[in-house]
Amino acid sequence: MDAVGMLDDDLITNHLRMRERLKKRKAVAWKRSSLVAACLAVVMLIGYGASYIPKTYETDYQPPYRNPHLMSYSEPKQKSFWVYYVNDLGLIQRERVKMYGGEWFLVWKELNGIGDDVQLVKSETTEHIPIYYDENGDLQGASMGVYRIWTVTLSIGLTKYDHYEKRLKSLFKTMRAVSDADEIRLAYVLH
Amino acid sequence: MKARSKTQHELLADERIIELYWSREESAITETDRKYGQLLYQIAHRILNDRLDSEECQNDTYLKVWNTVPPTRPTVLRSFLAKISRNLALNRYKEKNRQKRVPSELTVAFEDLENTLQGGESAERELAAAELGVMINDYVHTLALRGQYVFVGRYYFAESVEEIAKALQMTKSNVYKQLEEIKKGLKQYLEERGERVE
Repeated sequence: MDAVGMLDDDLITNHLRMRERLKKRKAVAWKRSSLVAACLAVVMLIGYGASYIPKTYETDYQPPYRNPHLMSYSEPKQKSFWVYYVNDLGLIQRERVKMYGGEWFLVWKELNGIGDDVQLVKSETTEHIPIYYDENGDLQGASMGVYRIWTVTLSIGLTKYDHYEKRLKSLFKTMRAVSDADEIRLAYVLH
Repeated sequence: MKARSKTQHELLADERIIELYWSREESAITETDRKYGQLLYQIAHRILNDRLDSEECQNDTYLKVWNTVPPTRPTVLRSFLAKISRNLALNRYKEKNRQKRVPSELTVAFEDLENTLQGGESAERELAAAELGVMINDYVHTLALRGQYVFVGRYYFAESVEEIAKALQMTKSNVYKQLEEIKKGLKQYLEERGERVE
């Protein structure tokens, strides 16, 4: 008993220091796991609460009508797309909406609260194979794939254009989200 | 709750506490108690396994430090206090043990170690305690950090195997295994140095 009591100070100090460090590490580990558990609980609560938030566009969303012209771009099945709109504060926001591909214009109009001021005149896609020429005008080669341009023509009242400018930006973003065309063009017919 | 956390932040640095002892300020004892009271109580309680005895031992430690500092100036206050507390508790333990067996963790730990060192206290009787102490000390220095922790924890501070296992995040059986290896190693170490162990 006495012999063991003659251990050097450094051994005793090391032991006490190590014990304190291990204790602290355990406390930190405990705090960390409590934090993770708390975060999980919050996430679950949010998830639970979110299920009660009314949704504007449910999965079984039914548009008021279908424009046969737009249906040329429709998908055989409903899919989720980002639709952009301008909120009350004038900021562009987006919402994920499950719809047929061809319904993008109607959904965009509805989300933006646009009535008959903006009308869809034409929606067409052109395809071509880009051909490259050198400086001398000699044929250099052609692209392997087809280049697709999607052009949408809208009819807007002359006085309304400025009013809808930001909303039209959100339309452009929506078109980007629903289409995989290489280029998207918006044309206006002002009346 | 707020006051408590404030108190914890206000714990004085060891150097400051030593200064208080040197300037004979009684607050030195209060500060020591606040910072190390729990540790000193734990050390004593592991050996004595009695609340009143442990508290008395804790107070004796403060008195002893008061009488020792100055002239002594401890380099590491924590281990200085721990050593005093352990020695005082050990003396009390021996005194009590003379009358009857003390059912503490130390009894279990020492019975275990003494079996390695020539059954009972005979090894200590044969060798001068000081000489054996130096050898044990040298041997512990050869151990890895984990082994040192296990040895000092078990045989110096009389920590339970469970406590050591928890601290080192080991299983109890692994701690027992390590203790066996340490004892075997110690026996061999002493034999190599010409000491008759068995």
